[in-house]
Amino acid sequence: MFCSAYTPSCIYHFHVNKPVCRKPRFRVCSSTSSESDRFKVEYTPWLIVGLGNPGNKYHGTRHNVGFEMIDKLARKEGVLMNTIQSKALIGIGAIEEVPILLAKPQTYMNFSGESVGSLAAHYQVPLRHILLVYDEMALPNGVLRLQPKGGQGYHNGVKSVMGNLDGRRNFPRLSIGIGHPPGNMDMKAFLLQKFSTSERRQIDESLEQGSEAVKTLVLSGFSEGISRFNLVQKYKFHKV
Amino acid sequence: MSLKLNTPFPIFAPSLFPNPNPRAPSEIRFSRWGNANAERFEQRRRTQEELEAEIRRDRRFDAATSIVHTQDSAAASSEPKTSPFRSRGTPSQPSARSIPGRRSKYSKPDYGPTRPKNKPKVPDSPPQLGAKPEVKLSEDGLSYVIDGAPFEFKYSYTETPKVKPLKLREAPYAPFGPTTMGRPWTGRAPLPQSQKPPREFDSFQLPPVGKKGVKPVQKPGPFRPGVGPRYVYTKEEILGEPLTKEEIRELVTSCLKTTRQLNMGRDGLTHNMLNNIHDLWKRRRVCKIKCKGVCTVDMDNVCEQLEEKIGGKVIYRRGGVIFLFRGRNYNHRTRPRFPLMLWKPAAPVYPRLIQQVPEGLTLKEATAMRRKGRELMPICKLGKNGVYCDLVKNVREAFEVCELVRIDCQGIKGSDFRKIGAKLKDLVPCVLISFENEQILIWRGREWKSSLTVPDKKDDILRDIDVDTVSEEDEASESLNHTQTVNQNSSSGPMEFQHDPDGDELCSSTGDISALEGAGSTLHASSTEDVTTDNSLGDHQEPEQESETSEEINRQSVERVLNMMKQAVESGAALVLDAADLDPDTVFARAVAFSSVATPGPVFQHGLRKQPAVKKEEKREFGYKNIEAKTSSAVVPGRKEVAATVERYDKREKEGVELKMEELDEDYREVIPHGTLKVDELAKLLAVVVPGRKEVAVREKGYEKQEKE
Repeated sequence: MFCSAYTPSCIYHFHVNKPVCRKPRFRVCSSTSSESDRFKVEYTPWLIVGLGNPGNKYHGTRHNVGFEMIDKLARKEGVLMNTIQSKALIGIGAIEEVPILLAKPQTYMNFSGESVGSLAAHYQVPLRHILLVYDEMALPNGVLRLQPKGGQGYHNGVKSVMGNLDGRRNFPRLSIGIGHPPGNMDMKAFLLQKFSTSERRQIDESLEQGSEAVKTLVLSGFSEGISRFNLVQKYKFHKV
Repeated sequence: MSLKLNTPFPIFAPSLFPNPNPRAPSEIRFSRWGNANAERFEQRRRTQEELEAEIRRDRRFDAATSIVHTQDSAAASSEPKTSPFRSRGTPSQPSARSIPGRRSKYSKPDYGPTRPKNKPKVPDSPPQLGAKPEVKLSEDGLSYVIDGAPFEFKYSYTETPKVKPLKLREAPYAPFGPTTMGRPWTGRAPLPQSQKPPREFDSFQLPPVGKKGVKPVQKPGPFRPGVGPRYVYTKEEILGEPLTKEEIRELVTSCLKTTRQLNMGRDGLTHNMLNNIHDLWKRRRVCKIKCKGVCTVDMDNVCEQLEEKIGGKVIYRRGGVIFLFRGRNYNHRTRPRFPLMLWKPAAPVYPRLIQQVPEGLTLKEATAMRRKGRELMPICKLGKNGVYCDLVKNVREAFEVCELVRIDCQGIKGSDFRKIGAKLKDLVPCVLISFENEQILIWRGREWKSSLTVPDKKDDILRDIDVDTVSEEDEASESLNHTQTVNQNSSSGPMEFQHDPDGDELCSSTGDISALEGAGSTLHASSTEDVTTDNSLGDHQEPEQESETSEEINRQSVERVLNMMKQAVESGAALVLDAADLDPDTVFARAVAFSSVATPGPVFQHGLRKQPAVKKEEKREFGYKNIEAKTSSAVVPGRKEVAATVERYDKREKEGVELKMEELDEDYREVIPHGTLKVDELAKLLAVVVPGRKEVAVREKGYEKQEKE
């Protein structure tokens, strides 16, 4: 089971030794070989965390889109989420040889960070392979955005995760737009509301698109495909 | 004997003839005739003018008579002048003094026969342009050509459409004042000349610092030590050396908070603004220009025109704000003088922006587009006098997704949003479809090419691939939306992976590496192949040796993760639930229950901090990792380990990596978990403020000290 020829720490060193170029590398290639050389897939595991509140009471609310995204991914990749570790429901699977760890923290939103941090440490997932999926009020309903880093944007869950990840911000995120609260509605009430029917439809579509995007990200990293995805998402409702 | 009369002497009869001289007082009864005392009052004095007139008349007549009497011209010329003629002048205008220039109580210095009272004030530099301006209609719009001018003058240098106007609305007349005057036209008579001589402002000779009544002036520069200001006349020389970063930063910070700024609005860079900028530069080195509205759509052009026409340098540009530096050797005295435009000339007639049937479309298509456009959601809303720098970029991006784009311009003036539309037509190459309801509807045109590469192509598009350096990657990954830059640098290679669900593609990547050496298998790598690839790759000059060494590991990465989970389960950190029981509520309940029982997990620590330690301890930790993994005793860590890790925890905050290293050396046999499993369990234990626990910690520390000794 444990081969002495390699150890997990080897991988970790490899990535730690080169802190500067942590992004997937494009190699020099002079021959006419196919372009699949040019991108080397990294097999370091990805930790994909969806933020949300546990329990049936909060199932299907706006703040829980993160959970819904994880569920969708799990269904697509056939990952069974049946383990509880470090206060989160996790499942281990793979997207074509790249191991992924889907996690749904069962703490309430404000304390998600504790479970995320501990999971990342246990499975030795580097910072750049922690993908956080959460709801974003700055984007219109149903618009997704994949960013390599970002801020906390009034989101308590993201804030707690950042706090527990050593104060670091440069982990990738998938923001799922839910739109502004209408008029003078209370923000908390808006977040804990369930979606309306039309919004529900939009969100379902976007979850589909999002899972595709996550696949792309895991397999090829932040590349032109991701920027194209962001563009398409930004203007997807401006079509006729 | 004196006569005594009853009546006073002289006896006056009531005069039959009333006194002709009104001045003579009737009370003073002097005799009119023969009274010497009365002479002053009696004699009528002629007025000054009459006297002078008589004098002139006399002189004239004398001169005439002398000419008449001098019959012999030769005699007249040969006749020596007995005395030089000296004009005595008239009483109001006395002739010149014999000692000119002397000034005394009784006379004044000589000003000449005519004393100028209202002499017009001539400026030091004569107007540079003397010719009459010509109106010129060209491809570039309406412009005014004057001989001797450095460039053609226009009303606006940035907002003139680059189309030939169809016709003029008024007679072609240049809006400048008359060039024949020595002073600018003010519409009034010239002011009286002041006694003080007019002084031209020279930037290199500043007024003394403490002088009162002087508005603040910034000295020229900035100069490097030893270099002084120079009188130069060409643009490049005035600018001088390119500014260093510190100089730029200093200039910018000094100018950020100024309230004195020029505003640029819907007319962009107007002709009179050129003068205004020079006026601002008289006092300050940097001119702050704030652009709002239509002109911000094309900020690049604005900056270009500024630098070209005025000769300063744009040192800072953000959104709608431009900072214009005047140049190291700028002198206000030697600035180019432009004639001011006195009024805004009426804009000529330009061809219509929108045609009923734009080129490339039939009428039906056009109407269909207009109908579709009414339901389309606008990509953005523009506010009146806003800053529209990103508009072009956003429109280009939106064209990637849909061929029609609608921009909401509600609230903006009609002429303004039409101008915006015209600019978009030129900058984003597109076709304007309609302006109805204060919206701009544009179509991307038939010859539109996407700037992103299409992801679905699987062939080798690019043979010779660009090298992506490390720095480029970082930028590229950070700026996701800068599709142009990413596009240029990256390739379509990564796209291949997206849509191919099976693992063949991936394996082919590794297989291709071996293909470089000639091996051609694309199967799932067996260990032998791994070995061969490893060996051959070792020879191959790839820049990333590490990836090859880790290749073999990648295969088992999933298994590794699974193993880690198994460890966790065994160690009591994880709990496996039944598949049937995955209802959110149950999960939550069980999670809560479990968390109170479970062993605390590790705390995430960013790897960078431990980097040097890791490097040196690499080899050793290999073995230890194994030991640690085998002994899955996370629950009750050995005392020695505890001790070491306690000490380590204390020193962690100091970032004294060397300290850790020493400890590592000392506690050779102690397991130092690289993955921070034990440290942080301990940290968690210690963090919980329980007095009992603290004592334990202290005791352990004490124990460790004993150990060391």
